[in-house]
Amino acid sequence: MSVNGSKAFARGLTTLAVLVVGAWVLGSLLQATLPNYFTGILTFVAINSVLALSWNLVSGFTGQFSLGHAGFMAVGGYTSAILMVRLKLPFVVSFVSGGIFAGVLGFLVGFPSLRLAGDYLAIVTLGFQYIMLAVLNNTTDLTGGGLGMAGVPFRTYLPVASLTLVCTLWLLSNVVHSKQGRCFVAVKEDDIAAQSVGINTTYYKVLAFIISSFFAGLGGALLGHFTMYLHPDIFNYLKSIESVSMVILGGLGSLTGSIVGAICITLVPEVFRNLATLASRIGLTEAGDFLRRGWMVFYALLFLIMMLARPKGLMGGRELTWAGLRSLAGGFAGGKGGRQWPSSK
Amino acid sequence: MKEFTQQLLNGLAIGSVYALVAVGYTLVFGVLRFINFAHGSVLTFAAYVSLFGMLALKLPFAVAFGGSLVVSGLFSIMVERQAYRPLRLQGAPNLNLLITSIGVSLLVENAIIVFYSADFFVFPKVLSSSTISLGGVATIPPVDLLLTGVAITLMVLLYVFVNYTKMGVAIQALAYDRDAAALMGININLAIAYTFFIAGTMASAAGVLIGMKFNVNPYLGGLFGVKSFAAAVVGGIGSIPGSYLGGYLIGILETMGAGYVSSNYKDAIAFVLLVLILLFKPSGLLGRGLQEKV
Repeated sequence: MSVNGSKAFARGLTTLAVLVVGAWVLGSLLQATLPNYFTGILTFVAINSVLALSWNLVSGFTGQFSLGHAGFMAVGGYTSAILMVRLKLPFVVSFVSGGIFAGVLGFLVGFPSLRLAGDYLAIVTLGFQYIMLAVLNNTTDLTGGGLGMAGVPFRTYLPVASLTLVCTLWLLSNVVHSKQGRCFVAVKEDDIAAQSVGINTTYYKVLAFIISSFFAGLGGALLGHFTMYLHPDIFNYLKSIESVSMVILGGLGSLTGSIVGAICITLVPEVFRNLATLASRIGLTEAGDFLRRGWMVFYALLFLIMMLARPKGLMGGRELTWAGLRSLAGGFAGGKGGRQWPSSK
Repeated sequence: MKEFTQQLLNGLAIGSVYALVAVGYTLVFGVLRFINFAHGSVLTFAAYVSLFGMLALKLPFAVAFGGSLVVSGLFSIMVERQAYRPLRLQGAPNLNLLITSIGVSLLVENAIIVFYSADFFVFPKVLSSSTISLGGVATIPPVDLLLTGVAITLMVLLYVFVNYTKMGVAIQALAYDRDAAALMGININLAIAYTFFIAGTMASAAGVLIGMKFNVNPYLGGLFGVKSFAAAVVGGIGSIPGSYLGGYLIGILETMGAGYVSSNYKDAIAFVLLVLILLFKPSGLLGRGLQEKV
């Protein structure tokens, strides 16, 4: 490793340490001060952000459409819960094992299907999810089958969730900016051209898929340890669509965009629920009922309007960076540093 | 032997449904090259249209059925006009079309839940529920007979349309090469509208008939749609006979698997078959290899 390389490595580690400590301290502070309702929402935002980031890597950066991420979440969630409950393993071990097992399954699913051209991956991963649900529903001794698995230990405190989110973001942003990440983008832009300059497209597609399913597994494990209950139906088609919609809203190929999207999508049902309660309270019972049932229509419309009017999402493949924020603030203040934000793509 | 024949007949009936829906996926994939996830929801939509026709408008079954074929065909065209055509004209990547079609399917399902009901409906009784005995070998419920009959009639009609009419040949040309077809003076938008109409009608027939066989609920199209897509891929997407073959293959294997192995894994059989076929013959049983263009 060259001097420059080791310097950059040390700087990277420092950044990670600062982020980890910051996330833990901030998470603990919020957990201690905010009411349960808000910490719950914040935890969901963190879990959903991990999921959105994982889906973004495989679809936003590598251009492979996956519709089975709920399947990988289920694998991660159940593995972690079973290891902890049955084998009494410590949380950290079972949590990471959940991710690793999901990654292994990601390899088994991705390896055959990623050699194919076109959108076949979408349908194979969707199929994988249905196979997964059938397995979970029928291995009653291990997973509780259709009755679900209650009594998963509660471990997803806000600090844990925010720490996982920060680490995921840090790792994925390093992956994306590495040589491998450039190859992912090359595969997405034009896989025939990528192949002709010597990039092993299948290798990178499978690699992206494995990394993505690993993080989806972690997200699933977080979810299981948060709700303390797992059921095959939690991980259905709609759950996969949820991560898709978060990324679409935030912007395909933008890591910070995924988090923005996750925040919005997590808040939509909450906003509607509160509006509905408010409407019922002031006497508009019918409007309240409609809002309670109608948020999914709003959600679907949001999906369509986004795709037709702004297919690149809110962030459009750009990242939210400190430098960008600073120049944005400068722009508002009309100061010297006020340049167009963001200055480049 | 008796049980085997019985399972085979059941498989043929359910396979007819898969084949009818699969051919819609193949047609749309052929002309636009994307997986139309909204196709399954046309099936749900059609079941509700005929249900509405019979319950609220008190129409006789034949009129409600025929009406739902036309309405769903037009609905399918409308989806193409409003959602896919703008993207197609922008030259958006196929991924965007795919995501849009997911949005359409979400919209249809949830609009039904919000404006109609999330309840399961039992279809009004049209046919007698007593089964017809086939010479002691097997029995068949009348609804299965109707299902298979309608499916085969529609398949034959489609075969004639695609091969012996001017518009059918135009659609084939479009599937072969859209730009070249446009240069030859084919009205692309009209041909695509025809394709969507046919796909919608066939899905509609499937929807009404499985609504009669089981029940009508907002999620009817979900699993049926996905399995039918698997059928289209197994048979070779882009090949019309291939999607019939795939549909019947998956229908028969599924009922056989449920009957002889375990009914718990019934829903997984189609996807296991899909992965196996993709491993050994990626273009499907009757499909031609997709030529990638540089």
